[in-house]
Amino acid sequence: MAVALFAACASARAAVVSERADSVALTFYHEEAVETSQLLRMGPMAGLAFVTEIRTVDLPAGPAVVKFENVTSTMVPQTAKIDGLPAGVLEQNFDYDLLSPGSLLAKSIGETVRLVRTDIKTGKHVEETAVVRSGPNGVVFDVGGKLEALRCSALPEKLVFDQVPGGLADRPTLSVRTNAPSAGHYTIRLSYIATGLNWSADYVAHLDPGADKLELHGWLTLANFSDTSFDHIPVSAVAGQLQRTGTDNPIRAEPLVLATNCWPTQIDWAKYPPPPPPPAPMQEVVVTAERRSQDIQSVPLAINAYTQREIQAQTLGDYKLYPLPEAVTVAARQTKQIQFLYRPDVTFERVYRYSVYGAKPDLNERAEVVLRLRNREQDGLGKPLPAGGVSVFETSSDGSPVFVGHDSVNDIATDLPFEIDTGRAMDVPVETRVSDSTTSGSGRTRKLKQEIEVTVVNKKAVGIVFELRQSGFTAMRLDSDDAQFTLESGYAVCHVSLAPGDRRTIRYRMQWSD
Amino acid sequence: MRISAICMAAITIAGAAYAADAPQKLSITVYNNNLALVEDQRHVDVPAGRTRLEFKDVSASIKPETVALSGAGLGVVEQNFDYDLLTPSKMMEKAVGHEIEIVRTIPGTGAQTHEKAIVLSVNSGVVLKIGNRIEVLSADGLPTQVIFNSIPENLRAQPTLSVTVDAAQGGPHDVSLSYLTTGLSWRADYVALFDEKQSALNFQGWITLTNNSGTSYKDAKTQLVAGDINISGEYRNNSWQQPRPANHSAGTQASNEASVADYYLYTLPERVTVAEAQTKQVGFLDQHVSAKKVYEYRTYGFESSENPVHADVDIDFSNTEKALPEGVMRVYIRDQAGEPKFAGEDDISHTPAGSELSVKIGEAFDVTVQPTLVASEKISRVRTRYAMSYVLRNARSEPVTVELRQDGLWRNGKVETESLPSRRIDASTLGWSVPVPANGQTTLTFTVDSGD
Repeated sequence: MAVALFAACASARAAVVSERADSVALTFYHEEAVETSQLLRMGPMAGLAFVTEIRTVDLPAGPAVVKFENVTSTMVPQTAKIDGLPAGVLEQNFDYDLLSPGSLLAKSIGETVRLVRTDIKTGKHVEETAVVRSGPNGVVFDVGGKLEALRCSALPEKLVFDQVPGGLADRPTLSVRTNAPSAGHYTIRLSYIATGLNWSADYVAHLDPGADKLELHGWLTLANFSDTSFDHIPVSAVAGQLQRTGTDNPIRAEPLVLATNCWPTQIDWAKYPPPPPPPAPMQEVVVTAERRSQDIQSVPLAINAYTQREIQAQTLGDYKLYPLPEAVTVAARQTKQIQFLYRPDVTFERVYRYSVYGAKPDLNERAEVVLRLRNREQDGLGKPLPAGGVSVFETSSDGSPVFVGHDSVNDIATDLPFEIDTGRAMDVPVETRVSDSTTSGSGRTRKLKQEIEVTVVNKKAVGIVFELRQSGFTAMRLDSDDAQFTLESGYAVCHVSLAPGDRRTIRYRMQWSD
Repeated sequence: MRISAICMAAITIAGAAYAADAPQKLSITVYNNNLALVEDQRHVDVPAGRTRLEFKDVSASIKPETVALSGAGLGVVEQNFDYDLLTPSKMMEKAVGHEIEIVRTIPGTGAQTHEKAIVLSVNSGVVLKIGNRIEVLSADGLPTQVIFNSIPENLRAQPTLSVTVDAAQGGPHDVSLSYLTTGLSWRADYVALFDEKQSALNFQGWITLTNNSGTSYKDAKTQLVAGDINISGEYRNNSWQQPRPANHSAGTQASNEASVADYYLYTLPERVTVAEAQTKQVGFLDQHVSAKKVYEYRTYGFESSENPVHADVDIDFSNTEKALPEGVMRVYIRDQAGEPKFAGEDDISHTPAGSELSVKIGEAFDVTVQPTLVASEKISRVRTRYAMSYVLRNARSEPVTVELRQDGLWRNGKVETESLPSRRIDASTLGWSVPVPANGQTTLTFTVDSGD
């Protein structure tokens, strides 16, 4: 029989607990540009934030383990970085062996515990010493050489443990091992990436009928799908697309489940299984909090009554950083909207557009209403515009705003042109038909010719600009006697102006080879 | 703040003659792909002749077919891995034909009756023979304890490895047990701070070791092997998604790390405890290199885009000194207040020292490219002439250069006209370095013969 003596640690190691951060700062990112309805639909699976916490710790001289409590619940542990420890970090651990009834038993195999039974007549507790012989798949214990199974006898009985086995904790815990040369009060900075924190941009455009200026409001929506609330902290949001690897995921610690496995005690006397239970009565549909928030997912109706605020974008490398002007509270499972843009006089052009893809059969359709803008100062804009959704409202004859359409835009740098497609116009019908189709030659020299006729009617009370686009222009020859076509964004495009009641037909011929 | 002193000292008795449950010196060698080699050296006291040694505290994810035990003066007769686990129902099944004790508690009086019973069957209910009566256990729902006298020999609380050895002489022996286990793996995480003004990239490398093997490894000498180990069949990791290789050109410089066979080996400076359900990070690298930011736009065909497309932002550097094991590089840049902020991340494959790396961190908000196919024309059955126009816009307050890469040439493909000089990157790719003025734009036009 050999007796081995060894020490798990060479010397005593102090355990220091950092209970909470003195201050926290959050920077929100989005993995892909989203608008608020998508953001709410994606929920905790998307988005990320860079969390910076300032903490103070009292370190003894010598080896110590510092545990960090109350970090964000969705922390990605491998991104945690600790600065400011006098001797640096020897090792950094994230432990997620959770204390649960199952893990308590798994770690107690072979250990002596107390078996407490309650006498069903007297109600008295009877205590015996037992050795655990098997773990969470069904507990077998040994009382003085007699083996029994836990909770299989229908007697009130339980196991009582003297202490929690080492290494089990109530929640996943980040800790570092360090070795300070001298004891002291140190300020350290803990930073990490957390998921489930997301943001989106939403724009609201207001315009009057017939006007060539619109009023543009931009809103930042911050969403916190984590379990952690951030109270009165500095917040910023980063616009632009970051490269991600898909590997930054918080660790989902699964507690070890204690199975109540016994030998068969529910005796199956019947030869056949019992009939299925009757269907549950119809229940009233309960609207969950998330569903409800999606429904009211208010495109914020900006009201001019209060001060309009803008947040100036800063440069962060090749991204745009929007620091919120004051500290905010971002509670767990909350969305918050903050205005970041207000441009009262933005020049735009309204175009009624129809696009022909390939050579189409006869169609009766309606023109799309497109608002064309350019992100420059002389047009009343000239600010970086983070990607998001745009909702357009037009003032009706009684002065109230009417929602006329919604589109989404990409990140728009200054000076770039962009468009908002609000939908199809009821009163600008477009009819297309292939008026002639011929082929000539054969084999390699075969050529196809088609004549297309597009008829547009302006049934509006005001004059309009109609834009006709034909795709596939580059591979073919296109000519027309009715309009001048130019190449724009890969389409052959022509413009015609129509006075109220005007009807115009544009004929063009295309020729291409197979 | 709470402070308490803890010290973990363990006294273990290397067990009852045949249970070798005191690991003495552990060393683990962890590979990138969910695999580790565990070496466990311990003292065992065995009598002369054949002895069955049980190892209960080996990895719960052990690959039993890889177990090897060696020791001077010991011969291995056989190895077994038993995983018939002890549960109450298994106990009852194994008791068929054997005697158990039934203790009934009478409700009301609390009196207990003790009876011996023979288990006749365990099939959706336990049928017992008590004296001359046949009964079903717990049929009346009254409290009934079942007491067994012993645990059947091959039922165990956890899977157990046993090795039968033949000792020439009785007495203490040093044995070395080694095996492979799954559930342990590692990769590198790099924290890089990029300073654009100084053209500097400072990065620390961290080894991130994850243990989900079901077992803790106390005070283990820990080594990590970097390299793509070939693992066949079910050993293989499900890596259907290959990370995008970030390195441009592999270096040939010798690295400072120890190498084993064709791989790199990293040894942690001191013994560590790798606990179950733990992610452990240990720093292994601190490098300062010069680096530059590159705007890149890469396209694979000749097509128009209706909207401008943002250029990629890459950070290019050369890792002069050390090999970089596979992992993720997270890049941080300082904001206007001087605080480092996350700026994107990219995968890094195993990279020898002296390699050129390009890490993509994201897309530039202010630098965009809008391609337009101006004309395409067939010049033979397979060759096509493409006329392209690229509008490159820069909304930054300083001039930039965009590296434009046009892929899609076939054999004998060539440039016919171009507004800026191109260079051939490879057989199918053309490259232009396009300068774009501050708050301005540059239009690149060219005509190519696609080749055949």
